[in-house]
Formats: sequence, C-alpha cells, structure tokens
Amino acid sequence: MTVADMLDRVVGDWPAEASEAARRTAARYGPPDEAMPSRLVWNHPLPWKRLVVNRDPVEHRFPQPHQDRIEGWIDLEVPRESTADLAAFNGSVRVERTHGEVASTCDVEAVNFLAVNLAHDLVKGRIDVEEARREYTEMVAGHLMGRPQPYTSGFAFEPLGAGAGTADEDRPVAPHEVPTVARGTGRRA
Amino acid sequence: MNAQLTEGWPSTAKAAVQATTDKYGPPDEASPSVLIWHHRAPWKRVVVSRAMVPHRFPHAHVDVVRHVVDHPVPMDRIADLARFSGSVVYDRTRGELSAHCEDEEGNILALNLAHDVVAGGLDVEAARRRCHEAIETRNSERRDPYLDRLAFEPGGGGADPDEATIDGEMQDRLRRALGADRPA
Repeated sequence: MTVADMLDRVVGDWPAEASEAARRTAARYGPPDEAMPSRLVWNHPLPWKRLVVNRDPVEHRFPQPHQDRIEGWIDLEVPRESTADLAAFNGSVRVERTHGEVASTCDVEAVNFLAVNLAHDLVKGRIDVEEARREYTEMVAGHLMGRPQPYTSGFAFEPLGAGAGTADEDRPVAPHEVPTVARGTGRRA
Repeated sequence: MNAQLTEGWPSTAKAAVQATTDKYGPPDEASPSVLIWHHRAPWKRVVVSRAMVPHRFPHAHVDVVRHVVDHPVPMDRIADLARFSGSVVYDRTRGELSAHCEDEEGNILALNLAHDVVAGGLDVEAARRRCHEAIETRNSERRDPYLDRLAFEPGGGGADPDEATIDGEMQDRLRRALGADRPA
C-alpha cells in the first residue's frame, strides 16, 4: 500500500483542510507513525519531537482568522514564571512543564516554527510579550505575502534532545514522614 | 480487547487503562501509544498514554492519565496555575483545563484545587499543602472529598480565540514594502 493509499483510507472522510494538512505533512515527513480516527501522529520528524495533525479544527483569530490543526512539539524548559507570558503571547502555545515540552498549534507548519522561535525568545528574555505579538504579526503577514524568513523556515535555536533535562518533576510539599516502630516496645517511635 | 491494545505497556499505564475502562467502557480511539475516551461526563476527554512522566508533586508518582474539562482561566490567574502544578495545563485557545496524574482521583483533586486557585483566589501554597494533605487521607476515614468528585461544574465558554492583529493597513504596508503592488 502506498502512502497516498494509506492516507486516503485514514483521512478520506476528514474535512478537506484537515486531509490536506495530513497529506502535506506526509509529503514532507513520510507516513505517520500512529493513526486514529481523529488524529495522525509523527514521532521524531526532525527537527520536531512530534507532529500531530488533528481532524477537528479549533478557531483561532491571532494574528488572522484561521483554524488550528497541526501541533508541533519540542523539548523546551519553561520556567514557571514564563508560562503566563507564553499564554499571553499566543493562546495556541501550550506548555507541559512536568514533561518539559512545548507545543504550538496552527494551520501550517511554518507558523508553528515561528511561534516556537518567538516562544523561545520570550523564555530566554530576548523579547517581551508585546514584542513577541508584534513580531509574530509582522512575520506571519510576511509569510502570507510569500516572503521567506528564517523564523518560519525552521528553528532559530538548537532544539534539545531527549534527556536534556527540560522536564520539571517538581518536589513534594514536605518529606513523607513514615512512622517507624521502635524495636521491642511495640510503640511508634 | 484492552489486553491487545495495551500489549507491552508498563503496568501503571495498563492499570490506568483498566480503571478507566471499568468506569467508562472501552475507549473511542486507540493507537500504539494512546487510548482516548471522549465525552465521559464529567470529562470532555480522558487520555491514557503508554509513556509515563515522572512527577514528584505532591508525592513521587508517574503521570499517565489525563482528564480534560472545559474551564476558563483568566489571564491574570495563569501564573498562579503554573505555580500550583506543572501537570495542570491550560489550553487558552481551546479553553481546556487538564490534569495529568497516576489515576483519576489525583486528577479530580488537582482540578478542584486548580479551580479554587483560578476562580476562588486560593493561595498557591495553601493549594499545594491541601493537595499533599488530601493525598495522605486517601485510605483513611477522614478522606478529603476533593478526591471523590469535581466540586465545580465544568462548562464551555472558556475558549479564547484571541483577536486579529493583521489588519488591512498592515497588509497594504507589507505589499508596498515587498513591491508587490508594482505593475508586472
């Protein structure tokens, strides 16, 4: 079975925009690693850690009305004090702090690169929220006009590999106090 | 059926699948790494993953099952939500709040406390303390009711599509900058 045949079988009944997103992703990265009725998943389609194409759209108007369908995931450490800034920059940038992952969801991969690049700049303190929103707006507009830009072509930083320490396991509120029994007394120490 | 779906999965992930299936029936979607249940009240979605994520709050465990509800989070409460738990995630565009833990009662507890933090102004440190203390009551007569059921009504209306910032003026400006309006 060819990739095209497989995609026809899996996304044949998806909305046209969703099946087109799946075909574009497969054309670039090969067949998906996992297929479900509502989503296709590519694992380690470098430079991404994971790509997910969703059947069901989510309405998003920033920076212009579109439908979020393609999730791009990478390992990125986000300090807890930066989480709110990322949400204020772009509501379609999602932080999984425990896992040490960040995702951007949009209608095209190029704009996911842009969102993650600006999220990285924001986390590293190169720009603030307003600058990130302005640069995002201008660069998406440039992309729509067909102007090639480094931030929409790939990552402007070196993504970290697995085990790079982006996960934040947090810590217990207090050490667990395990009652011990004093030897020979039958009473708790 | 689940035995085939979860062949080779770690025992903790299998246990989460079994508990979810016992309560909500078979999953609606399955892949080698994920099982999904849609619209199992009070949940919008339940997702069990083969991959387990180490998490040490409020005690050492692995995150393996995610429970999702619709729940708005005001922008000025997101920072406190992040300080409360890294395994409670807010998806602003979708308006979804989710908790990721080892079992359902851990997620019910986390979401109840997240709701108190974002909607009730509960102090983050107080929320973290109660989370720890509630887990300690799991097998006791003074079991914290926050482990048993959602203390709030999940609801829609939290989706935040944001606003368009590319306006006609910007498009004109870019067109001029690119020379796109020059005669061919």
